[in-house]
Parts: sequence; structure tokens; C-alpha cells
Amino acid sequence: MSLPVPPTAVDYWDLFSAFFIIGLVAGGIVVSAMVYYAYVNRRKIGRREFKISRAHFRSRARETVILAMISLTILFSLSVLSDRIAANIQTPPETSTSLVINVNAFQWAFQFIYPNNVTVTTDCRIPVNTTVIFNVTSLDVMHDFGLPQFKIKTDAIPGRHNIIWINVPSLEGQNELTYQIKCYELCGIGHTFMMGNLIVMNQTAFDQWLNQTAVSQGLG
Amino acid sequence: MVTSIFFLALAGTIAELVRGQLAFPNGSLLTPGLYEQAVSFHGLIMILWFLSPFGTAFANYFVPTQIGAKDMAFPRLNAMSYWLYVFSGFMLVSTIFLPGGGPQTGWTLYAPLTTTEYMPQPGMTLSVLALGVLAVSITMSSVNFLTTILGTRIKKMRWWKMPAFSWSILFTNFLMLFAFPPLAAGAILLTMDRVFGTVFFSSMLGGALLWTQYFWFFGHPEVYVVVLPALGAIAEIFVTFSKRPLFQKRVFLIEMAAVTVLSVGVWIHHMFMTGIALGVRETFSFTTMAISVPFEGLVIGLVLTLRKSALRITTPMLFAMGALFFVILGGITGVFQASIALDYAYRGTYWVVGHFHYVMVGTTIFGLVAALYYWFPKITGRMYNEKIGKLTFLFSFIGFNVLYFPYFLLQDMPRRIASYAANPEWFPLNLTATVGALIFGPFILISFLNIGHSAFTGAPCEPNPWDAVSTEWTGDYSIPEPDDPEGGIEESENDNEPEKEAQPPPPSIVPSQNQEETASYEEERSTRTYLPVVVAGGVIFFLYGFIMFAPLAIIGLLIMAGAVVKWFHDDYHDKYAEIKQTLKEKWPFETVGKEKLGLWIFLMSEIVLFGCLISGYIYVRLGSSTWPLAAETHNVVIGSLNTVLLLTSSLAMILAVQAAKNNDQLGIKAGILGAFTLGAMFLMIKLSIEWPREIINGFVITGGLAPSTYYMLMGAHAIHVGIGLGGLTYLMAKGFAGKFTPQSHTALELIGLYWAFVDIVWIFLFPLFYLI
Repeated sequence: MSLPVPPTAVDYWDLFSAFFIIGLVAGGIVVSAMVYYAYVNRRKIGRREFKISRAHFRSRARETVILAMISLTILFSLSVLSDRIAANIQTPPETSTSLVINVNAFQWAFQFIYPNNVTVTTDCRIPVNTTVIFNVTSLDVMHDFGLPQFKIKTDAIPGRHNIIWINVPSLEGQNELTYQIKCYELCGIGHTFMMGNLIVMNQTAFDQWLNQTAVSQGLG
Repeated sequence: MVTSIFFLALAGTIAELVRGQLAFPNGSLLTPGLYEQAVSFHGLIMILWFLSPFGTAFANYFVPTQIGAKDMAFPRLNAMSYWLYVFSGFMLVSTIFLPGGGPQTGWTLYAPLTTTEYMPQPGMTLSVLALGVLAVSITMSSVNFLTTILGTRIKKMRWWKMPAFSWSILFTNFLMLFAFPPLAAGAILLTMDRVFGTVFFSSMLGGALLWTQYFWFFGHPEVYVVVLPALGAIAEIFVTFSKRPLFQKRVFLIEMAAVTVLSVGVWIHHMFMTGIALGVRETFSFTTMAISVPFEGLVIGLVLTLRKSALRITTPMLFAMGALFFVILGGITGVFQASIALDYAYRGTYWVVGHFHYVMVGTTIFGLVAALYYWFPKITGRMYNEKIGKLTFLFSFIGFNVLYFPYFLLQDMPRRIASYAANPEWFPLNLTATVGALIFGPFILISFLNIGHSAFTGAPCEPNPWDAVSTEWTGDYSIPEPDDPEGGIEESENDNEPEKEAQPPPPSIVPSQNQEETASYEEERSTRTYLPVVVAGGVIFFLYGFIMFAPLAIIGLLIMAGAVVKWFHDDYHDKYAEIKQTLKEKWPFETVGKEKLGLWIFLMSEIVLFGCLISGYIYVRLGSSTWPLAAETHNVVIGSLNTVLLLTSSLAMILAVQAAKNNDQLGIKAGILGAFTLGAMFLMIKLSIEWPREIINGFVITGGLAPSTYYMLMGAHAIHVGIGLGGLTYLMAKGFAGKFTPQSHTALELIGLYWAFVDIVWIFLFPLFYLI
């Protein structure tokens, strides 16, 4: 039983591949150059003289500038690409159907408050095929609300509210999907065990669960 | 250096414990509490008490030698800085034995976890104080290095000729000067929160982010503080063993300068997930990417140095090449993290841990171990065991990669967790890493054993066994000068006895001053003193007592005060030594003596410190929705009166300096006395009229952010005024004895300068609190 890969993770792996290929090529060239030069020039005893020629220096300086320009361009485009994805991660789409969940991190669990004030800890249940917006804050120290399989997270800081959102994947024939929630900032000795589950359910099961919990919490 | 290796061993052992714990999903070697202490200690000690001082230890020996200076500019300051470093380290480590233990917060010490509410134990406070003491120690040492490099280079040592290592130390120390005051500021605020009940970090009104701002404004430059000396050493090694000049040295140095400058402008990338405005993060994401361009230039420059070379593959060369490999890998993975989108995935995970271990451990430890092997013959006059050396390289290189490469594959594993039962799929990679650690750790240890053993038994070697061309080996500063193999043992490289390394300058250096230099060398020998260690010990006693047991604090204070008085007393009688030194150290800065240069550099760091404190105040004030009006809380009349007092006092001081230049003894006495009286009045009004008044009105230190910032900044300023008054007392003693002459009034000028600085700070504080 495999979990569907959420859209944010797909974006992540695409971007990662772009960085990885560029990094591999650049790193590969430099490392092989180092190894190659070291190999062909190795000597038992070396007696070659030092020579510094200014002409040599100048021409190389031009190449350095060109190289710097090229790398700056590559880096700039990578940066623009990332910024677009980042902007997407933190700006939720303007739809009326999205579900806003307030997340309160505290030592050492996450608390989820639904729009009808139903409050649960540890397990966060969400319906399929919706947009869920997490409005994250902390009640005590700094935490970090992370959804590792979605490849996104945000800091939970006392006094501040940070937003991330997800498009909930479809069930793909399964009954429920369980993704992990973890804290990614050291928050005291309970940090190790500060985790939870993000449980995706079909819409009817979710509505039923929400109503039942509301009743049991006296919210009618 | 021995001390820093000791700290390495300690932190390394802790690291092995951490790895041992994580080898299996349900590690039970340590309890979570102990585990979090272990990761905190490991981070703090490795980065702050090992990596940076280790580079500095080399610098202490080789910077003066490379630039042809006799010794560091201020040997006693050097010793002071060393002892503060040692004692602060012990103070930090000792907290583990105190009730409640040490910090369990990671080396980043994120507030509000570090406030008393969540970490009530005294060990936490002491750790923060240890950081503060370390910051002081580092500031002293960077003042010293900058003065040494800027002010006491030999005449023939022109800027472009200065070896790459000395350059790297110059940049490093500039960075330290800017990076450590924010840490000190953070430590001051946190201490006040913990001890006096201020609310900088515990208040919801923006306090939590304040710490991360301070910390990373320090923390990111600190990475370069750690890496640059290693890069400098690698450059020296590449040059020596390739028999080629450094590829485009000027470009290389300019790139290094670019890295230095850019590194203070990238810190927000540690805070991408804190919800700072996207535009700000995009800017910092780009500067972070941009810093990799000069860095890439540095790497390519080093690689191209090997082109057409005649390369001798020795142990130092191998370690240096290994370090370069790790720079490349660590650097490239760093670019991944510069991307905000990717950072959404990496924040707080083992990917990050992998990245910075490649940079910090890979580059720095391999680079500095390379440096240790490389300079070993110079330090001891003996040769290490080459076979064992190469073998240790091979195994530590393999071990390192087995240890840290899996971290890049553990992309979802959170940092600083003591077990991972919920994710059994992480087990094989963690086990691999632990195996790597069991290879890497022992072989690094063998490296040091090899060095330590050879220091006593190695075959004696010639003064320049590598046939190197840089000045510390040849002793040739472009003018003929005999080689001087130094016979000092390794410990003498420590700052505690820098005098030992000082050698009589060869006769060929500036012949006209020869006699005088030899004479002052003799004098310097006599300046060897136990005072710095006593002062440093006093400081530590005081801080322990302050937190744990009050009488101890009084003892500490007495020791400290006694030693400081003795120190000044020495200076009082040794005036003649000082005259000569100021005359001698004139070359590069024609008109500025080294003391004055040092003080200016120190004031620079003070400016950064007050800048940080004041911007912290502005930050929380802007972040708060309500703030009491100045007129309601502070009395403008008293404030204005104090402003006038302090300014007049400065004027009196200037008159005293003028009088000294004109040899007007009465003027000197009147000036100093006036300055002192006015300054003392300022402090009296502040402490006995203004503060009690405000406290009666309910404006108490624990009453929220407004009084917190007020008492913090006023207190910091008042302490500076107090120190200034101490200096003025000394001047009075000396002035009334008629010891200031037009030729000799350095102390007067220096303290005058300091006094003026204290006034200028007040000019900023006055409107910020009393008028706005």
C-alpha cells in the first residue's frame, strides 16, 4: 500500500532534479579537474620554477569574470524558479471550499482547531480533494510544523501566524491515507516524540467524524 | 592549540555517543534529556571552542612570522584572551554536572526555549554567560590580530605580497569583529531575561524572532570565520607542494574579500521558514546564491594552481585536497538550501546536518589537520611519520564520507531527535553513518597521536623541508635574513606564553632601530605575567558566584579588581617601555600608534554591539502595538541635565589632552578632575535620583518590554561610564604625579577616546528614550 505522492512533493523533486543535475555537472568538472591535474602532475621531487607573468594574469582575469557571470546567471534563474514555487507554497488559492485549520504547537504535540471549533490533538483528519490551509502558531516555544511527505513545513513561533496549504491527494482506491506530521525544531526533551498523523478520509466519513466529535465536545 | 584539541576530543566523544544512540531506531544509550544536552554541547564546543580557536592557534604563531612582526601586537591582551577562552570552555562543560544539567536547546539556543520558564537550571544561565565571556575573548583576539596585521607588518611586506593565510586571518578577524558583538548582545539580553526578569525573549510581542535575528547575524559569518583560515592554509599548502604560485593571487584575495563582505548579508536564509515577508527572503536567497560565485572562484583558483605543476603528494597535500573536495560537495549542497522552495523540505532535517558537516568538519578539520602536518616541521623541527599520515588520510576520508553522505539521503529525518521508532526505514542509513563515525573518529585521533608522538621522537629535519617559498619558512621578507628554525615546543604556540616565540629580530631589519628593538625584546620578556590568568579566573569566579553562590562572586570580584589594579600599577611604573613601542610601530600607519589603532578597532566592535542592542530595542518597539509615551515614564529635565554633564565632561577631557600636548600640568589635572567629577555626577544622578524615581512610579525592570529595553540599554551605558570612570581614576593618579608629558600621554589619549565614545552612545540613547 503506497501513499500517493502529493503535488508539492512532485514540485520538490522536479526542482531538486534541476539543482542536482547542475550541481553534479559543475561539481563533477571541478573534482575531476582536481584529480586529473593531481594525477598527471605528480612528482617524486619537484623542481619547477615559479613564474608570474602579468599578461597571463590579465587574460585569466577576463575568463574569471566571464565564468562568474555565467554562474551568476544560472544561479539567478534557479533562484527565480525556486521563488515562484515558494510563493505558491505559502499563498493559498482563493477558493471558498478550502478548509482552514488552526494549528497550535505546544510542548509536545500539535493541536488542530477546525472551523466549527472542534479541537483535536496529534491526529489531523482532512477530507479528500480539497484545499487545506494550515494557520500555524505556537503556544510556548519555537516548533516547526512539518509534513515530510509533502516536502513542506513552517515554523511555529509564539505570537506569529504562518500559513502553508496543501491540495489533498485523492485516495486512489484506499480507505484512508496516513501521512506523517513531525516537529522540525528542537523544542525541549519531548522533541523526539512530537509527531502526529495527517489522515485523509473520503468526504462522507470526514463529515461524520467531524459531527460526532463536535457532539462529544459539546459543540452540538 | 592543545586546548582546542582537547575540546575537539571532548566534543568528538560526545558526537560518537550521539551516533551510537542513533545507530538503532530505539537507541537507549542516552535519555532524551541527556541526548539533547549532548547535541547542544557537541555543537557549541565543536564550533565555538574548537574550530575557531584551532585556526586562531595557527594564526597566533604564523601570522606574526609570515608578516615579519616580532610577536602579536599586544602579548598580554593575547594571554588574557586565551585564558578567558579556556575558562569559558570549562565553565560551559561544568554545567553538565550542575543540578538540572546544561542546555538542552541545541547550539542555536533558540529563545524562548532558553528562558527560565522552560530551562530553569542554573547551567543554562552559566552557558549563556560562557558564550558572553567567549565573545569578549574573541573580540580581544580580533583587536589584537587586526592591529598586528594592519599595524606591525614589516616594511617590506606589501599588501599583495602578504601570504594567503595571513590574508585569510585578516578577513576572519574582520568578520569576528562584526559577528561576535551580536552574539554578545543576544547573550546580554538572555542573561538579563534569566537573571533580572526582563522579557525580551519571553514576551509574545516579537521577542522570539529577535533571538534568531541576533543569533544568525552572528551565526552565518561564524561559518566563514571557521572556514576561511582553513582555506588560507589550504592555499599555502597547494602553493608549496605544487611548486606553482597561487593561481591569480589577487583575484583569489578579492574573491575572499567578496565572500567576507557578502557573508554578513545572508543570515536570513537560516530563517526562511519563520514567516518573514517573501520579498525579504527572496533577496537573501539571491545573496546566498551569489556568495557561491566568489567561493566557486576560490575553489577553481586552487584547482588551477595544480595545472602544469610539479606536485608532491604528501600527507598535508592529501588532507588539503580532501578538504577541497568537501568544500565542493558542501558548497553545492549549500546552493540547494539557498532555494526557498527546497528549504521548505530541508529545514531542520539531516540534509542540513549533512551539508554543514561537509563544510565545517570536512573543510575545516581536514584543512586544519593538513595545516598541522604542514607546519609541524616548522613548529617542532621534527618530521612526522609520513606512512601513518597517508594511511590516516585514506581512512578518515573514507570514514568521513561513510559517515556524512547518508545524511543527504535522510532528507526527511528531523534533527536532534533521540530515536526514530516511527520510521524504521531510516535504520540502515543511520547504521551506516555510525559505522562511518567509528572509522572517522579513531583515525582523526590517530592523526593527532602521530603528531603528538612525532613531536618528541620524530627525526629532526631541516628548517625548510618542503622547499617552500613563503616567508614563514624562508624568513626572507625580500631582504636577506638568516633562516631561523624555531625550537619551541607545541605548547609555546599557545597564547599563554607568546613571549617565548618572540625572537630577537635579525640585524638586517631596519638597522637604525636595531639596538632599540633588541632592548625592547628584553623588556618584553619581563612583561611575562600571571595577571591575565588571574583576571580571567576572577571573571569566572564572579560569574559562577553570581548565579550559584553569592560569596564566591565577591571573591571573584576582589580577585579581578586586584589584578586589574596591579595591571595598571605595572603600566604606571613601566611607562618607559610604552614610549619605545609607540615610536617603533610606526611604519604603516605613520601617525597612529598601535595602541590607538587597537582601541579604534575595539571601538568598532563596541559600535556594532551598541548597534545591535539599539536595533533590538527598535525592533521590539516597532513590533509592539502599544508603548508608553516617553513623557510619562522618563523625566526629560533629568535626561537633559545628564546630557549636558556628559558632554561637558567630554570637553574637559579634550582640554586635558590638549594640555598634555602643551605640557600644561595644571591643565591636565584640571581637565581630568573635571571630566571625572562630571562623569561621576552623571552616574550618581542616574543611579540615585532617576532610577529610584522611576521605580517608585512603577517603571520596574520586570514590567514588560519598555522598561526591559530602557534598563538594558541604560545599564549597558552606565557600565561603560563606570569603566570610563575607572580609567579616569587611573589618569588622575598618574596626572597628579605629573607623569604626563607632551611625548608620553598615550593613556590619556586612549581613555579620552573611549570617554568620547561613551558620550556619543549617550547622544543616540537620549532622544531614543527621552524624546521619542
